[in-house]
Amino acid sequence: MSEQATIDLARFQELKLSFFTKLSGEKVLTFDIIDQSGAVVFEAGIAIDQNEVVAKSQQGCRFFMPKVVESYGHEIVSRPAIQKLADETREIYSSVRATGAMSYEQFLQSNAHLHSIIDGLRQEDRLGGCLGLLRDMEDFDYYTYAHSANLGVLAMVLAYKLGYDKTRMRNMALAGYLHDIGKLGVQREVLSKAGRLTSDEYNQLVEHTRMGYRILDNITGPGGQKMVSDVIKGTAIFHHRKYKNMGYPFRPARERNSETFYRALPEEIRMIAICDVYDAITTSTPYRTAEEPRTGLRKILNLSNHYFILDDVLSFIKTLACTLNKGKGVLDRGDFIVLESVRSSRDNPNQKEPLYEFARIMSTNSGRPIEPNVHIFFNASDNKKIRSIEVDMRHDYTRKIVRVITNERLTERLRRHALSA
Amino acid sequence: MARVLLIYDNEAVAGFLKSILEAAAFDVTHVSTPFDAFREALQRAPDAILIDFYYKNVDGLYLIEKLRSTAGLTDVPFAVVSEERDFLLSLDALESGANDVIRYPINEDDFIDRMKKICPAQRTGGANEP
Ligand SMILES: [Fe+2]
Ligand SMILES: [Fe+2]
Repeated sequence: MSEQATIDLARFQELKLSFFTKLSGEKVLTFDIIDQSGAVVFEAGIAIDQNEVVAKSQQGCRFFMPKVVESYGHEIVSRPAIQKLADETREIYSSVRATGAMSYEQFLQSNAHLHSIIDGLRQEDRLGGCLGLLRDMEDFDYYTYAHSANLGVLAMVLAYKLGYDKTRMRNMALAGYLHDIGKLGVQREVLSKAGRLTSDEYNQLVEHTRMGYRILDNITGPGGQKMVSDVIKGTAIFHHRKYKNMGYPFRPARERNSETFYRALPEEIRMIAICDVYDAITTSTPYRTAEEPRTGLRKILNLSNHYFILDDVLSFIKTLACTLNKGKGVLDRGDFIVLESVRSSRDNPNQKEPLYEFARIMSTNSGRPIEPNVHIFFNASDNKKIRSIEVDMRHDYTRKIVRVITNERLTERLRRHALSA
Repeated sequence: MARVLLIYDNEAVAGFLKSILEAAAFDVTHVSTPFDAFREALQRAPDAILIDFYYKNVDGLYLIEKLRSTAGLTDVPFAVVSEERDFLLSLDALESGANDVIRYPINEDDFIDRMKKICPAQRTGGANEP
């Protein structure tokens, strides 16, 4: 009732009819839709029907979606929702990762800085309460909600460990929480579909990036000014872009080079994109079992230079591996790995080209998840055996680990090579 | 006759590969979208899949992983065609379970040998066909 009383039309965002008709179907609205007079046309909780939308618009209705969180002065109406979110974030995160010996709850509680960030998010109304959008997500699709909460925490921890200042840290946390908010615009059945998606359904899913941007861009303050910072909106729209193959939203024809584009993205977005894939791999859904943190981290490593920039991946692993994987590393003694370094091109000495070498891990160094002692035995770029050398990766500034071999057939082949080296 | 499902979105290259394979008595079905790929793969139960790594707007590795994790397709051998000389991508193809990586430009004899190797033996014998 009190929300009705405080409705201020200037604060509502008009919805494009196309977006609105997309909402219809068997979906249940999670917010009221009002018309220009402020009357509720469609109530939250009902399933709207496309014919009704057309009929009402012919009667002269223009549709508005009330702000999901209505502010009244400095009082956030949905403060309990945000408070609940902050509390649940910790709970959910530790329950999703119940297998981990060191839970996020413990980690966060031991960290006053992160604690104050959470409190800040809870208390401040700086962003017009956009975190409250997550409340709608909770009712709409619980998996996406839990996933968003995970990313908020992961992003926050990462930002803290990367040494960001408080504002940047807060923005990165919010960017994590809200990266998938556009899924509110995707049909629930599509989000939870077990089998393969049809082409239409896939396109709908892809749209969650642009939809997220629109939702966040539409959040305005009392004076009509945009409230959500660019990095948060940028994360919503670009978190599925990839380094070597463009990902989505698909690149326009004029944008030739996806690598240049990707490199120009803010670090926050690139790191959240990594967290996103990591969380998907290590979270179970009704249709997929979760991978162990160790497997998740190894998969992330193997996506470097392809989905992600190698240096970002290494920084992700260096920063989070021990926390995520119960204090243990990612690589084990005996693992075969690929090392990347740079050399002058054979064809043109003025040009650089990557050099790849196969190596085997002799021993690991505690607290240094991606810097073991290795035994290099094969030059893969030139496909030739080399006189084997031993290298302590903590002190080698030219080589980086770019792959860990998990395929059995490959491992067997490398084992034979290593033995004869 | 061994049945090969060719998943390739470049029509010209696909036509070229198809003609080489057909000249060597392979039965080739060509599809150009991932959606057709799944439909055909499940309907026709091919003996081998030949797939393009640089699929427009779709990550080749992702497509391979999806195909490999689909019931009924987990054991189908497959080879990847890579138009670029990129060590990591070839390695990734093998990591994801590919039986072979075929590099462009293609040596026809070598290509046919490799395809015969990955197809189940009784399928490529021709004379052994019941
Ligand atoms: Fe997403
Ligand atoms: Fe996500």
